[in-house]
Amino acid sequence: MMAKPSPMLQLLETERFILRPLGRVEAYRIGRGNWNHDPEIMRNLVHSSKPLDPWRWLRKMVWVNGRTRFSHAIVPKEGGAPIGIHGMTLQKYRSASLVVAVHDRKWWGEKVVAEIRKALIDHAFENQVVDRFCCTVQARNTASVFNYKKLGFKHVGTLHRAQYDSVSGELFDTVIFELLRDDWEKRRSANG
Amino acid sequence: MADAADLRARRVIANALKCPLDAVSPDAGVDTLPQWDSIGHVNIILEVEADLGRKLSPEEIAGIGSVADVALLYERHIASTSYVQAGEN
Repeated sequence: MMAKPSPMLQLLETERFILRPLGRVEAYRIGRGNWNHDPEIMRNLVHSSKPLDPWRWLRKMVWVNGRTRFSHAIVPKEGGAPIGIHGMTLQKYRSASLVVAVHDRKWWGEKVVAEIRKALIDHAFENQVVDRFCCTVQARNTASVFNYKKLGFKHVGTLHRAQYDSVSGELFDTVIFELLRDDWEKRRSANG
Repeated sequence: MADAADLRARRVIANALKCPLDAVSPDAGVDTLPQWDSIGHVNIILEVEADLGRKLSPEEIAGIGSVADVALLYERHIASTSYVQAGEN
């Protein structure tokens, strides 16, 4: 008997965007095509401004396998090309992590990441995909820290001097945020 | 001391969010204050750091989500500077 496809392979919709499930080839094409030669995006994603060669990109950046790694293209409802991609990785014990990258700079500062993260988290909890989200973010990336707090994530730990930025040569601290199903349900019922 | 910390926190947040002090109630936070968005949050962190004269630790940055959180930072700051002053006298 064939296994039931994961709910994370469904087409999703937010207020402003369609989240279209991606296969490996398309995720590679959109990601590498738009991010690899943008030093600012690469610095945020892999802490280096240098482009990755195709094999390294495949190994490091391509998520999708349809079982534990999922990706959706973020497509504006008003039409046009995808403005970014998200990646979700399922981990042991019904946990997951999320990455959202918006390559279209017109959409920077438009609260896209918060809208996409909320939709994915709601969908994953509603469909019993996971019981916990756990994400790590650079401590001084305060806009991202804000987004996690706004979604109800709790700070559960700090990793000091845990990552290296090859552009500035600096070591930096990262903070770990967690959202458990119970807390998500409490917030949801409190917000009606 | 708690009142002084509370007022200082509200002032700094109102300044960072460019809104009147009255709009920042003592129980306000990221969920209740519409002006408190991601840009506002960055400004709050920078204002608090400028006011305290030091960079916040990762734990302090991750802990800020409400007026009460910022007030707690100021309470600790006031307590630590009072202690230093008492030691110097």
